[in-house]
Amino acid sequence: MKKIFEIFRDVFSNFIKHLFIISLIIYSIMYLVPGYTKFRPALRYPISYFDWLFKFCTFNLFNKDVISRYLNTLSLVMGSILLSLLIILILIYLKKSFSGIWVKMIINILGFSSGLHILVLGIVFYLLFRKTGVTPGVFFILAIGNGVLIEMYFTSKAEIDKILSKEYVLAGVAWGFSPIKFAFNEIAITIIEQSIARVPILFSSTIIIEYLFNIKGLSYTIFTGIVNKDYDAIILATVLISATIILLNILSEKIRFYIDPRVKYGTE
Amino acid sequence: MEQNKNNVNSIYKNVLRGIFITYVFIYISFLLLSLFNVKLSRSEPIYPIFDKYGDALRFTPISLRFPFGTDYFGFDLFSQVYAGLKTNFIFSLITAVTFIFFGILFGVRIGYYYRSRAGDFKRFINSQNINQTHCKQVTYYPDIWLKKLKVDTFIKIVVNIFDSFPLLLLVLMMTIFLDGWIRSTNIKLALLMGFYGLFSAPRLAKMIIGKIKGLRAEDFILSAISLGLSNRKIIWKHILWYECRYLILYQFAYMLGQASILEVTLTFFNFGAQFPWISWGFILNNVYKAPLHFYIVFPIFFITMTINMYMKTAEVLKDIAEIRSK
Repeated sequence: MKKIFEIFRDVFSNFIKHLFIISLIIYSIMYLVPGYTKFRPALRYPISYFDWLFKFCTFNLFNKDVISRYLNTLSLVMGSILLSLLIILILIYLKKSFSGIWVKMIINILGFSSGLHILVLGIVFYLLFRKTGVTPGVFFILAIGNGVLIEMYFTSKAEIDKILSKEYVLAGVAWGFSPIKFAFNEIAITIIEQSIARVPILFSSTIIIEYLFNIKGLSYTIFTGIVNKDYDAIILATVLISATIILLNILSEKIRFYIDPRVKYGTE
Repeated sequence: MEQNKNNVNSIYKNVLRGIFITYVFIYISFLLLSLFNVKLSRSEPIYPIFDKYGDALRFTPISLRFPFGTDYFGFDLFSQVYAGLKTNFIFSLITAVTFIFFGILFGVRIGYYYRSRAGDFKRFINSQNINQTHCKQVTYYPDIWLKKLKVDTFIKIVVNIFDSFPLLLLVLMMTIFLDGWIRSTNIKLALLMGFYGLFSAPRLAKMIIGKIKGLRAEDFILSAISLGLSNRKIIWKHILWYECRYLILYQFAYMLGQASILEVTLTFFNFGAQFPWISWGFILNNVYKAPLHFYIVFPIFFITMTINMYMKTAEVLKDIAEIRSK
């Protein structure tokens, strides 16, 4: 219980520290925009900023619309990460189990598709499926278009090969055990780190996907806010996205220490 | 069977390499022609072409007059792709130059001057009992007040924040910031590209700091100081040129690729280049609004190949840098 409380306290303090800095930066940028008369003059800036921060932390700025948009964007990002992980694990398994050229061809096709940027890929998919009214493969476009899938594949494969060639894993295999049983912790840490490292680039790409396929998400809110000069919506959406990224980074660190406590003692 | 597989692989790789090198030549020649404002087609990229009845010439067949045909709105695709090449290169160059400038500035400032460099020298001098009259004047940054200010921790937090923040969203926020101050959209785009380079600079700074730390561990800098070399010579010749040039070059090429797609994206969202500057984002915007037609292959091919060209160049330079560091 004490340990859980300590972990929670660590996560919360780190999260609040980073959230404070990032919200200060974003709020200051918006405050300096000419025409944003709501929080002028300059003396009222600290009062209005802390007022806004208090409302944000007590969830007073959130309504149904904001929450549904946030969930839409989050589901896009998480869905694309999960899809990438699934495809990567399948590809790694196929590469190890089968020596056929077709696996390499699939990887080459994925590599070639990742050379097309998400904007180009999204436009092509949109034009192909516009008349049907269906938007298939949005997660796939998001995963492929940034090179997220192919980068994750190559880095994860290299790390997994390194882990599986370690002596303790080979000794376990010699004793007749499954290599995954011994190497599961390290592989899990690799996969979690690789996934979380791609979250910022996926969030920045959701704006393209939400614009092209008319999905009501947070990034689309920022875009419409810029067009309509809705500064409050821009600040809220931007801070929400950055808070999510910060929280995921902190959580990935904690999960890493939880899975493999040796890492923590090594750094200490 | 194995030999056949290897032959097929090598043919495939050679074909790809040939396409890549051909595109590089085409790109460089078109770029030079467009930078010197050489006109390659009769039609203007900013005006659609109408027939004698006043209707836009949509999807005309490929010919010498229209090498890539015309799009749904009657614009000549070839002249637009050609004009967009210049726009894309100029704005990408602004980003890449800003990125390199601030990356080197931050990296050298933090990695070289902070961290008791003068303290090392003073300790060395005292231990060797060297006659200090022959030593050059050394700039001294007191360690104590820098440690108290926790400059290193603050910089680490700022770098982590900019690393974890989606840069495209930050750039879009800067558009609204610049909207109130600057009227001209092209100057706004140039500033936005500059900001993107600035916000990405911590990445290069971290790499240069890592390199300097590695050199310091080898007593490289201390021996250079004891030989009487000036700070400028150590930084410019020994650190940046001898040790970091391939790193800087590959980050430059990588940033050119990132910036070119950013420029296309911003113009697609109507925050980028405006008339009379033509951008590839404008072409993609027209493609998005029009029915599907195979002519979209031409602009998409150029955009994709340009970005891949920059990324491939960056990969090759990165491999060279890694080999040299070993």
